Amino acid sequence: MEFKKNLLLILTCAMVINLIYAGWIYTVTPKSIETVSYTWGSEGETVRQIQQKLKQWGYLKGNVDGKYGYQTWEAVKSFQAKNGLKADGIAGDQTLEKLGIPVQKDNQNKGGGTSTTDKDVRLMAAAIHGEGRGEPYIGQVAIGAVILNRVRHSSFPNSIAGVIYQPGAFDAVSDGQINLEPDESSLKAARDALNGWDPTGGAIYYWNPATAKSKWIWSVPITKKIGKHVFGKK
Amino acid sequence: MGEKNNKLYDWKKRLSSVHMYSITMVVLALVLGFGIYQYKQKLNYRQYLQNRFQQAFYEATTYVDNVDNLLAKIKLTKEPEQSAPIFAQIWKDAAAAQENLGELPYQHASVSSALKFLSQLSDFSFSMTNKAIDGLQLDEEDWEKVSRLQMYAQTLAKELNDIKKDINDGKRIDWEEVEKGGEEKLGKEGAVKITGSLDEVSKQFQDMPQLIYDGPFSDHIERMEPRMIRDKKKITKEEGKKVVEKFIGKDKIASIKQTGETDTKVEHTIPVYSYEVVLKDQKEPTIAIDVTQQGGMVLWMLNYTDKDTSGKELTLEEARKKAEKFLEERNYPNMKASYYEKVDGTVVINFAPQENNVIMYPDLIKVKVSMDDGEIIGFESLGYIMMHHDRKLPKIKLSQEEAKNKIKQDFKIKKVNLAVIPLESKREVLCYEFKGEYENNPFIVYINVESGKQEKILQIIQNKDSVLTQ
Repeated sequence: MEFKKNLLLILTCAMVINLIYAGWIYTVTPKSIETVSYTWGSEGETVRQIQQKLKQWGYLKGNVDGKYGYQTWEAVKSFQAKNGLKADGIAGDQTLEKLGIPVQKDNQNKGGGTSTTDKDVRLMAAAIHGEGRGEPYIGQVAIGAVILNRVRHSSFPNSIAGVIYQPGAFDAVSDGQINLEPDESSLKAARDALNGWDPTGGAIYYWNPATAKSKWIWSVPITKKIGKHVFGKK
Repeated sequence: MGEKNNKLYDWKKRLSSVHMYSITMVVLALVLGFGIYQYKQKLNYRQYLQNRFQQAFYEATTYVDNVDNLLAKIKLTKEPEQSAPIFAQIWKDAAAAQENLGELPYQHASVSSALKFLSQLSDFSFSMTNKAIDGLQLDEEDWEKVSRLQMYAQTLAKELNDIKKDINDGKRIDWEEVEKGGEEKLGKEGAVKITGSLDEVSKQFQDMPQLIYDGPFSDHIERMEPRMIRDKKKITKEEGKKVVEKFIGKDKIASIKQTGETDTKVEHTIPVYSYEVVLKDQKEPTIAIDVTQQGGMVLWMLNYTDKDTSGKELTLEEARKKAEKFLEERNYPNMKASYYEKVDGTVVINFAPQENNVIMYPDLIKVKVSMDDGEIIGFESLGYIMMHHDRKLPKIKLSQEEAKNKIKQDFKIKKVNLAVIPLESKREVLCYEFKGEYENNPFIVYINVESGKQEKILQIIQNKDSVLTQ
């Protein structure tokens, strides 16, 4: 009996540890990016667009007034039910897409800005945010500049996505931090970098001297030091 | 203490009752099941990843084999029209090999030389394709480069095929091992090579000679010198500070701090002094600025204040005038605005000098203006410092009318200019710049004034916030 009790105790402990582990796994797994949705009380141009479409297709009985009220809610619900979406009356990404309304994130520049570099801005801002949160602004521009210098360099992939997602190239990509929503500062830095500002003097590497594990990296001549990072080229 | 012990005992007792025992067992079974599920899923993902890498590896090997083969064939061609299609094939296959190799988790040091070789081979073949299309014979030097490239292609193909042979002999590439990389595993007979390692390639490619040709990955680009400042005198840090004062305006500055300087031992970079500026109405530094050590010119400047917007907005015309005045006052005369992009209450305007009615596009300066109050908040002049010099322009051999005839007839021409444009290889050509419309879309077509060759077509992306080219 004594043995059995001890066994039970050990098993219980193992179980608890297991649960803690599972919880930890859950918390470190990167969450999906938050999206903008519209529901009761929402107002503005997008709501007006939603109403216009719903009115056009006969779902909405009320007026197109740009205010998300009861009638809009009902209309969105029946539209969702008809289109195989969850009928919760909340117009999120999927509903907007089905309605044919381009999804606009709040912190993106509204109107205009349809230039072809826009997608690259976002990807690059995500990389900058993941790699250089908490760095001085110029250090963030510098990270963007290094990405671009790599695109132009023969020893690296020849596209922005290729460089960013090259296996092992950036820690923020390996650990999923690149999926975090980029903040205002990262977006601004990405644009400055894409517009040609290069504070690094043409660097293609950067590392944090306090944490760099690779011995090889110290053979790279340093061009500049900004914030926690040093930048270099070979 | 006693109470705690009692509680523990109590808990133990309850746990030992049969009822609790079975509950514990059920929960344990669930957790175990969850664990096994997670583990299997992990194995699945791992396998998926291994397969992706394996695919990329096999594809890279196939493309390198192709390239090796094509390079052998091309030496047999005599006329440009014979070599053009083969060079085009090499251009495509080498790029595909580079792409696939770049997706593999090699450590940068062991794969970079192979990637460089493939980039250059693809790029070189593209430039040779163009040469052949122009009907030009390859010269002695070109053939010498082809032979050299073939030698390296053979080496790479052999290495990759050796790895493939290892795999056929039953070894597996453990990509996780490769990723950790570099260090060789210790086996019974000392160091054993990791299957799939490219260290041998990087050793053999170490002394790869410079390859110079007309393309963006050619080695001459890296070694270009800044024409504007290369013969100028070196300034001191103090003199640099004066440059900053003059550039930003002494009356606006509270303090300037020097934050760094480029080690002049670093090759192929423009040595600068870096400064941070605190403005009079600010507490923290808000401007970063780099001044070249030679010649003391401002390389770039960025003001990164988060300004409260007053709600006012300048027109583009007003912003352009502010930028022009800024440049003129700082001794950049005759700068002409070309493209611009408005984002977040700022506009970035591209400028190039116009000399004797010729626009010098390589000498690019970008100015960032706040649309709020017209303050200049950014300046970037790498293009200007690298390229600006007194050019000896070639003689114009083609009249404007003759050049016009080189363009598709229903292109509606609205404006014609003379312009020096940089090609991707940074080679400069003097062209007629025809701005116009085709199928209601705005384009710019550049026709070489000597050869009549169409050097570039740009599409203008235009909306209410920007005019850009692609």
